[in-house]
Amino acid sequence: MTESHTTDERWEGDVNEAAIREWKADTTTFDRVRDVIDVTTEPQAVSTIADRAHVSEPTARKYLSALAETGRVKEVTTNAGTRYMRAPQMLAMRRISAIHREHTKREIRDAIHDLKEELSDFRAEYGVTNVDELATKLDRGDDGWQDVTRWHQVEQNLEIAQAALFLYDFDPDDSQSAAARHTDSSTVGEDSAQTQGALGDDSEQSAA
Amino acid sequence: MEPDADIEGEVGPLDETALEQIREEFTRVDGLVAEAGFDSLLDPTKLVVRLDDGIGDAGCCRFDIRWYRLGYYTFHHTDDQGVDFRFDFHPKPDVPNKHFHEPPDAASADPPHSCITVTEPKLVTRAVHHLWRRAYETDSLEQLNGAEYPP
Repeated sequence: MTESHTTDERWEGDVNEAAIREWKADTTTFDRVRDVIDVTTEPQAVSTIADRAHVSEPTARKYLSALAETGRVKEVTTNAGTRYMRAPQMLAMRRISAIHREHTKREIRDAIHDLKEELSDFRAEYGVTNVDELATKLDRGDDGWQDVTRWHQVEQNLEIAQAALFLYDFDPDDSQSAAARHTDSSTVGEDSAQTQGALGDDSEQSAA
Repeated sequence: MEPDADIEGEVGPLDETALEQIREEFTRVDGLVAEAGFDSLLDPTKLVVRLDDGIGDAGCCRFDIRWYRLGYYTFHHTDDQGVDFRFDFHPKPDVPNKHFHEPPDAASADPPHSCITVTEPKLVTRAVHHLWRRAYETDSLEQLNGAEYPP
């Protein structure tokens, strides 16, 4: 670990190079491919992902197709070849599950009410029906960008909260609810690594 | 100071997956991390990382971290001595997208280039932590935004 170096040695050189060097030393090639693809929201070529993860292209390809089989990664076929990105619903399920576990039905309903109210306030304030309309109206440097960011956030939170509320209907005895079990609220998604499979199942039920 | 107020362009919503990676990484690289979590589950607006010590006379400090869907971010430091600074990457007219709001008050006028060039959430976390820890151990805010050491 870095702590074992003396102060001077440890800080010598370039901070960006040090960050990459230490990341590589502390992780496996699989860890890095997974971390990189988990934050990839647009389809990318294997070579791009390999560069970002500091692994070889064959290594990236091997792990990406394995992750695609588990449903964590989305494979997109284009004329230029196969592209990869994270599977959005897989990651949303972690949050949905955490909210379902730690908040009561009433708390979720209240949050949904507040978020909806915030959206209608934005619509009224700017005289637009959606956030894209507002973004189109703004120039770089305008004051409204803060509200665009918030608007996106409210929409995302609303979708997640509505899905979490919906999940209650598929858990009739409330065995997983906040009322039955209280856990540390600072640990969003902490259990997700172990419960990926189970979360995936919940997702399918909710959608049915 | 409200970090979001500085953003002047499209950045997307918070990326909770990236923030979860940052939480994991910050906790991993520094034993001084006392607490790291979102401010809310239902309406998260930032990741808060608290450390049990701070630069110079500070007894504790905190990073408020936001990472957005389009890969933009803000890492805002504050401590019990009122020392604020922030490593940012986001659209802002007339200044570099990757910029540094300098201590002691994270001044918003004419921020210089940030020395952080890496772009993955875990790498940016390691870079921010490296710079903070270097300032912490060398007891100086002078080189906070200096990529090279010694300068």
